[in-house]
Amino acid sequence: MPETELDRETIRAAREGDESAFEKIVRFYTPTIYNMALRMCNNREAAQDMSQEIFLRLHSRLSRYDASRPFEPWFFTLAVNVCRNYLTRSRRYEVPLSQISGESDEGFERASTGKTPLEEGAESDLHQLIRNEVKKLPLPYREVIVLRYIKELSYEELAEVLQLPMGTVKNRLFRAREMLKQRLKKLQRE
Amino acid sequence: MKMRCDECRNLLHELIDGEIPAEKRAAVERHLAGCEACRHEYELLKAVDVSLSSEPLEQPPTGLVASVMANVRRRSAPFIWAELKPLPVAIAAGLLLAIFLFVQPELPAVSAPSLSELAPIYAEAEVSFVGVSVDMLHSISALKAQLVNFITALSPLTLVALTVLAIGLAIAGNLSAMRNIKARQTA
Repeated sequence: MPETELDRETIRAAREGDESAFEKIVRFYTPTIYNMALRMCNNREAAQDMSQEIFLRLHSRLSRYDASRPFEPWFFTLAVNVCRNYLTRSRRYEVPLSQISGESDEGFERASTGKTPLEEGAESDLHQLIRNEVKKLPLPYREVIVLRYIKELSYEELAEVLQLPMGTVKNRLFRAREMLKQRLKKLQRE
Repeated sequence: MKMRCDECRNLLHELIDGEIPAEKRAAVERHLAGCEACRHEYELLKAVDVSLSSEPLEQPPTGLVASVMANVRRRSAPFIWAELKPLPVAIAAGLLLAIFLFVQPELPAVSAPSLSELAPIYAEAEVSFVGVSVDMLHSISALKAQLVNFITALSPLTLVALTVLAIGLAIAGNLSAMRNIKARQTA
């Protein structure tokens, strides 16, 4: 897992109840957590709710974190569990962004990619297609794909976060990517 | 030995993820160089991989961090009674209870019943559970009688004055706690 920029001192202080240290953690992880939630559910409102739940759960569980172990795998295991519970309860959110009335990109800035509008257009079509296909994957496949690409986790790190054997993680990742590839293949033929 | 197509395709994911052992990598690359069908599969997988890894992160909504922190503060605020100092509150509550008892219409002076009076009542009610003896019940009745007699002996004005004093003490003693609670709510 890429080295966190958050120093251990901040995490230790937050664990001992320092509110400003906890806010630092929230600021640092909000982009990753929000985007992870968004890719899991493909709905901005639900992604905000999930992010809220994840940080509130972190706040209530932080005292149980074993400071001698790396923080990120522990935190992302917690985050994935919150997402699983949320998605199990709220199946109504499983709708593509493009099909949600009133949903637009207005007010939601995207990070600059440095591409021309034409390149971005072609790419965004593919991104949109892949994003919608990711949403259709069964949850066990979706979560492995989202974590792999949003956090660039290795097989070993994925296994640690998802608390699964490495063989299962590899199998799910390969099958998820195969499903996306088949969809792309079908579109190429059409 | 030449690699078969199915073997090659099983290893394409590991190749893309950069987690393939070096000796297998060379074999897969050799196979891809000579097999158009497998190369096509590889290119499709690579397109999926590139699309997934290059999808830009969306900016989280403005105010998400503030909203999370507001919820954290709300949830971590202790209940109001956890901050109140118990002694002044207990005195005020006790005196309020006393007033309540005092204003009961024509509260008669009560005398503690004797053991002989109590015994048949408890026997009839089949009070026989472990740890509660007739002696203990008698002591409670006697204490209650003393308390009621004490309250009825006080003048109403004394009781009201004592209650106002106790409530005043309870408020004064808890001013700092109330200020803390208000400050957190404002934040």
